[in-house]
Amino acid sequence: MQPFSLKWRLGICVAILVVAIIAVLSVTAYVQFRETLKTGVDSALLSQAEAVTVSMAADDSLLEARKEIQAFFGPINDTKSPVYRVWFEDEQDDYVASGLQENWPLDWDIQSTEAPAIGDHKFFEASRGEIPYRLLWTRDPDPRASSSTKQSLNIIIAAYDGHVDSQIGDFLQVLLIMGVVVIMLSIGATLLLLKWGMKPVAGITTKMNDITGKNLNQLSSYVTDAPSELRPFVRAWDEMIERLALAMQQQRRFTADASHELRTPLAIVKSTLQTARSRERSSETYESAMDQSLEDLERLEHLIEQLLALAHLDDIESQSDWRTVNLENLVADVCEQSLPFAEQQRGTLKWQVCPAKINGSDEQLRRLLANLIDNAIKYGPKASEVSVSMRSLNGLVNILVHDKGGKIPVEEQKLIFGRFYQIRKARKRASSSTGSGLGLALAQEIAQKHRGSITVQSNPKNGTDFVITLPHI
Amino acid sequence: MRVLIIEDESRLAMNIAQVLKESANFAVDVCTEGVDGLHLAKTNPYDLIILDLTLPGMDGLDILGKLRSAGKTAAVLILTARDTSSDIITGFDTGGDDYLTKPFDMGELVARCKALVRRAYGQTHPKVKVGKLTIDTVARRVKFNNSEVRLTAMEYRTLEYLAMRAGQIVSKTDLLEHLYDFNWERFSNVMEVYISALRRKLDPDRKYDLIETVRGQGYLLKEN
Repeated sequence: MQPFSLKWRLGICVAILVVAIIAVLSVTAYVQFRETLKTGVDSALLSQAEAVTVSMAADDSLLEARKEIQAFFGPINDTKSPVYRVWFEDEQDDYVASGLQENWPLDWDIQSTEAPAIGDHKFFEASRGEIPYRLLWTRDPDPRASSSTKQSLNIIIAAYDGHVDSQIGDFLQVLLIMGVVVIMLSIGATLLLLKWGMKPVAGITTKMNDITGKNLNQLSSYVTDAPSELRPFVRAWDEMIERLALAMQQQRRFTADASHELRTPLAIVKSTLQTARSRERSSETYESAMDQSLEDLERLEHLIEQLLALAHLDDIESQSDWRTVNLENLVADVCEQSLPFAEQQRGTLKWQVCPAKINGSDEQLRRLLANLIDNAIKYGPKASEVSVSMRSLNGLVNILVHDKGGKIPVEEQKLIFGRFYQIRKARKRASSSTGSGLGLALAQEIAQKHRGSITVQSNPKNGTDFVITLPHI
Repeated sequence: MRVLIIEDESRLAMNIAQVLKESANFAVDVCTEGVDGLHLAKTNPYDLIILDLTLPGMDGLDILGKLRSAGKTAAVLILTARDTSSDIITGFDTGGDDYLTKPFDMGELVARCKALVRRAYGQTHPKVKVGKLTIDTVARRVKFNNSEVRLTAMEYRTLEYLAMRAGQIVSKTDLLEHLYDFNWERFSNVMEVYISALRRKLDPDRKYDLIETVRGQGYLLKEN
């Protein structure tokens, strides 16, 4: 399932939040509102009871009092008019005053209600038929000054209670409509806000689309107004671009160098053969043209071999031929194979080995060592000794290739491992080169692939040392 | 016609030089280094320079730029392994007249060189006609009054140069500088020998005063 888009996620979050806020507000408002309404009814009832008590106290004649109370409450017009009953304790049957002609309070469910203590009052709910009433029952000592009896005066006043619920109902309805509107508005506002907020992102995306391999520009060069939240992103992107540009530049330079190095010997061979063929020539001329071409083709063959080895090294699958390699045998083997070349250059090659096993590619490790030994024989002084020695220490194995040269300047010692470095240098110095320019680069990349390294030390006094360091099993 | 080859692979340069001498009858100088190449190109009146770009000492494009800003008008053919269109465009924009990528075909290189030299002297037809004289620069044959004339390489070279500059007075120094590479010893009287040989071979009866000697100034190949 596709994840929700940012705007819907945020929209839904905001909607839930708004619903929760409205719910809490509604409940609070409902409780508060209902309380206020009830309190209003109750205080009205209390003041009415107060008035009845006062008229009872003022008028000695019950008849007068009754008239006054009836006048106070007025006639009962409808069900919403207050209903009341005033009586003395021991005169249950004979009430002082009543708002209803019928037999109050038989059809009211008051019997089950316990009377309040003398001097006290209580509120309760009751209903007549379907109509809800709020009732106040006060029970006071006889307020009449003339009375000597200690009978208590009961007053029950019932007030129509329905309007409280209907008002709360109206209130809730308004609240509900408002809530829905607010939720809709908040979702809409969120979407708009998000769209506005994401505008810089859309802008940056457009700019990003302009960035191609040929045009690796820094994003910050054209996004100058990125909001602070996006600045780390732009920075990170630029750093990535920088790394990519560097890699691409190296790749381009390598391709240019490789194509130059491949085309040049090809051009020489072609021109040599075409020159020889351009007219009738002596057989010696043909022979020398063929010999030269063969020589050039060998140079080309060597270069292609090294290039393919490099390409193979870059291959992800290149670890498929890895196994445990007996380095002791391998070093001895490679040295033995290089001996004829050393003797051809009228030099010697000596080696000394020690037991070591490492995990890696036999073929690549052979190439690594052979390249270093070849270099030592080729670029060391003519007719001198090259020595290979081996040492195992702290889980690492060192292979040292030593020659009596020592002409590599310190500032060049790191650069010689670059692809085609030798050739670029040769171009500057006008000296012709015989190598492919890839030997050391290849050696270093093989060592790194085996989690190892190659270092070089060179000075005229001690000669040149190439040290291969590899982790052994 | 005199050509300079600036190319660091000396074997390649030598092959080109040999073919240009043999099949175009050019005088050819070879230089395998950038700084020396620039010096040679500046101090000699070459008709054509074949220029490699990847050179020791100085980059080929730098050489070209410096030559052009020094006011040198020699045709320049860039011969390089760099083959992207941006390289080619830069080559032309720096002042190159032609661009050939390695590896190349010798025949094509020679044909391009001939065309460039022809153009440099305002000629468009591979057969140069001056009055009754016709020089086929491709086959290197000379006809006068519709009859073929056999010339030695140096005689042909001299006549071709005079024909390219027909109607102009060409000094002896000019002739020497354009017809000999720097390995030759230059004796000015050698020119007189060639000129008189040409006069004899082209016009044995001395009916036409084809190559006029302008006293103290040089030679003039008349257009009519």
